[in-house]
Amino acid sequence: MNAIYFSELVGLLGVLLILIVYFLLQIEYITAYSISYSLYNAIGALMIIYSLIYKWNLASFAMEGAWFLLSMYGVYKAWALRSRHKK
Amino acid sequence: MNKPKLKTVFFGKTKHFVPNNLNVWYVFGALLLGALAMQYLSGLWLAFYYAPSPDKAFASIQYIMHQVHYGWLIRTIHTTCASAIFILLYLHLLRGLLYRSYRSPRQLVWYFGVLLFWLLMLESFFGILLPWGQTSYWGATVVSNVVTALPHGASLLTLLRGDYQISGVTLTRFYALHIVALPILLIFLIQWHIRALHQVGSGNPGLSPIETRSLDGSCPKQCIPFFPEQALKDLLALIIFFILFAAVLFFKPDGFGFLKDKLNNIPANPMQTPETIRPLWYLASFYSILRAIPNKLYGVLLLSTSVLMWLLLPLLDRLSKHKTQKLHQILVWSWFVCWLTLTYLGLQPITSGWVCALGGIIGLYFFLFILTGLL
Repeated sequence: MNAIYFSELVGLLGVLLILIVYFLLQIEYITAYSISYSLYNAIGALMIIYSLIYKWNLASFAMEGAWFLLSMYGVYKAWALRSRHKK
Repeated sequence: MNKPKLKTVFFGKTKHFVPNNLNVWYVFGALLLGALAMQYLSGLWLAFYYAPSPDKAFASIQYIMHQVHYGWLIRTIHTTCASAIFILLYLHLLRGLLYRSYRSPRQLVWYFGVLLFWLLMLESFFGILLPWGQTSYWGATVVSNVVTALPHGASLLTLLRGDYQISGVTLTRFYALHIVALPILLIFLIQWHIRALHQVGSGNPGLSPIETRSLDGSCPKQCIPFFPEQALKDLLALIIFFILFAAVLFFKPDGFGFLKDKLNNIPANPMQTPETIRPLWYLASFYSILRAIPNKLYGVLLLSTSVLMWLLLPLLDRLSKHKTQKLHQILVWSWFVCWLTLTYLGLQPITSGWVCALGGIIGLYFFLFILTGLL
């Protein structure tokens, strides 16, 4: 029982993380090209995936899996952009 | 007239900058704010159901734990978060010592921080009595008895308790202080602590100071804007803290025996003294100092010194000009090991062998603290 409560809380924190960075993007405090934006999205998606292990839902898992992969691609792109700028 | 922007509504017009070399030690202030917010909210929720009278207090706690929806969760959050706040507070203080955050021009920030530390200890002491269990009752009896060592001790004790022994009057008095007076004072002090920090700017782990204030609003050299760079780091730290906190809450709610005392599941009985009364882990180092000294007055004086000594650091820092970072950090860590040992010994039943060892460790504890300030 406690494992379910814990996983739900981790999932909710993941949702909070994604929503906060999305809010910061909308009010132009961060850009979509920053590493932190994509990285925080990836971490948030992973946390939601963890909560789905205990309460399975295929559609949500597909959504969050894709979200994580796309965010990791965003991290790679932002990283490459930063390295290019440094050179 | 300019239309107000949403981001200025949330974050204000002033831009804050922080040094770009801040490490993980610098997130504990933000974590403390998060933990205190959680403590205020869970405390408010508990106050809806708690009855501060001797015949109802214990029963109302049982009602919260067993009848109220998610009552067990909110109460465990409140008790566990008290420990979490002290862990974060000690880490925040340790960072202040390691990177000399008490140095000019940040003395005022330090003094407000020390005041906050004292008030949080008081806040936790007044909260101990509220569950009205055996540990609560006898813990409050032992700690409040400390004032009898002072001149006019008996009168002071009656003033504190509101009665000749711990009673219903004491409970309502402690309840009012715990939920109204001290929380309001804490909010003001937190605000002043942060305001004082914004006036002088944040310190940094490096050896040379970095100017973080900007007159024209542009980002100073070696600095980054607090929003969003540092704020996002703080946010991630906060999420990690909440996950660790939830893991303790759901999988180890007794905190390996440190957070919950089984004796407190028995209603308070003034006619039956328990065999051993264990202090809360975060106050155990002070308890060690108190019980190592046979003379009550000297014990209280040494205990007061251990609490007041934090105010000396900015003054000690001025006395010596030859400062070495490496030696300073070694001294801080040695002092921290001493503090840990005192905490451990405070939780153990006392034997004659321990007392001698305790005296030595206490001496070392004060000596290392003064050296830390000087070197």
